[in-house]
Amino acid sequence: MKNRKKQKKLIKIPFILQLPCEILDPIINLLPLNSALHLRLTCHSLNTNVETFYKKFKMDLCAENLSPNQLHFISRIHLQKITFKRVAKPLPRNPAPFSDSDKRQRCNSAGSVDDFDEEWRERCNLEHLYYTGPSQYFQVGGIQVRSLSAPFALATSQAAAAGAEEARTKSPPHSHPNYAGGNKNIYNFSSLQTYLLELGSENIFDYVLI
Amino acid sequence: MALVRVISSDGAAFLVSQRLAKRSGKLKTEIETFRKSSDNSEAQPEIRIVTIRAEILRLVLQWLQQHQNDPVLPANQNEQDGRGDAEMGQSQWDRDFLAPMDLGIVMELILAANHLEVKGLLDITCKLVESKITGRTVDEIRTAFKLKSDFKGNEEEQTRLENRWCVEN
Repeated sequence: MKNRKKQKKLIKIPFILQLPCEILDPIINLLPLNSALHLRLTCHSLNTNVETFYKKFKMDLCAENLSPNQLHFISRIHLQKITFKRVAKPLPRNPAPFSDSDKRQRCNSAGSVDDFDEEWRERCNLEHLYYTGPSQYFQVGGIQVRSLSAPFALATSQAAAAGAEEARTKSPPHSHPNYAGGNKNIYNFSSLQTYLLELGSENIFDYVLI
Repeated sequence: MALVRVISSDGAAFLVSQRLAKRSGKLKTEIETFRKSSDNSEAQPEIRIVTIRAEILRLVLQWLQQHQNDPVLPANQNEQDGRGDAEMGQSQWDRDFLAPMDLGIVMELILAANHLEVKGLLDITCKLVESKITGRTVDEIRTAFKLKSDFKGNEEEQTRLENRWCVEN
């Protein structure tokens, strides 16, 4: 009698919510970022599951001695998922990555620096709300990720979070308290991998994310 | 040919060759345990699967039959680079096999494949579920999986705000 009641109750629960984590995780893993976020929004339980999946994955990443294969995997798929809250910003519809050299080039070619700065600031605010200073953008799985200058990257995660908050309030370029100039040029997967490999294990996110 | 009797939770018995049954990790272990504990080497093992009903067990055995000559994949195959069989492509037979199933059956099949440790079947069924989520809106996913929003207070709005930058693009 008790079993029958239990079974009836189980039938009412949607099947996807009956899937244990070891099955749900690989499914989430197959999803593109947008779809994972949509899944997160469907109900409280799946929201928790998707969050847990990311947390678990982050813990996996913190394991030492990541192999080149794992690094490739991170840069190919998971980095885009993990970074979404903190640093990464999706590419605009017409991707127009820009860097400090763009600014220099345009300043050299025509127009006054002031005019250009104004246009530059607008563009930063419109397209890159998280922009806090000179940095370069590279693409990981369709999402732009900013490379950070070394001193900036050394900031604690707390300071980094504060930086992101500040950037969100559209502070002008160069105003970030941790910014100390210099750039780490990461421009493709292979340099990203080398960079991550040099960093070792648990600092990956503090470096790549803000 | 050595046979094994596999009995579903609702009492239906399936007589299958041990060679075929051993393609399931779980059945293989059960057969080996039976062999070790049995004095009679000719005795026919009988395995009761209390969590899988006949309709689903029949589908699993049908899939195993079709794939009996495929190489057996270890459970952790491709875990390191995150790609399973699912990404490597399904056969037309697999697609035809899954096509008429509703999501409820697919979900039961996933649980069965997981319980019986049939990795290939688990991969293609997970991939099918993934395809039912990818590219759909939140409401469409809710409808497909019969989900109801049970967020409390402004939880949903908060999550939506967190996702906004990504969803907008």
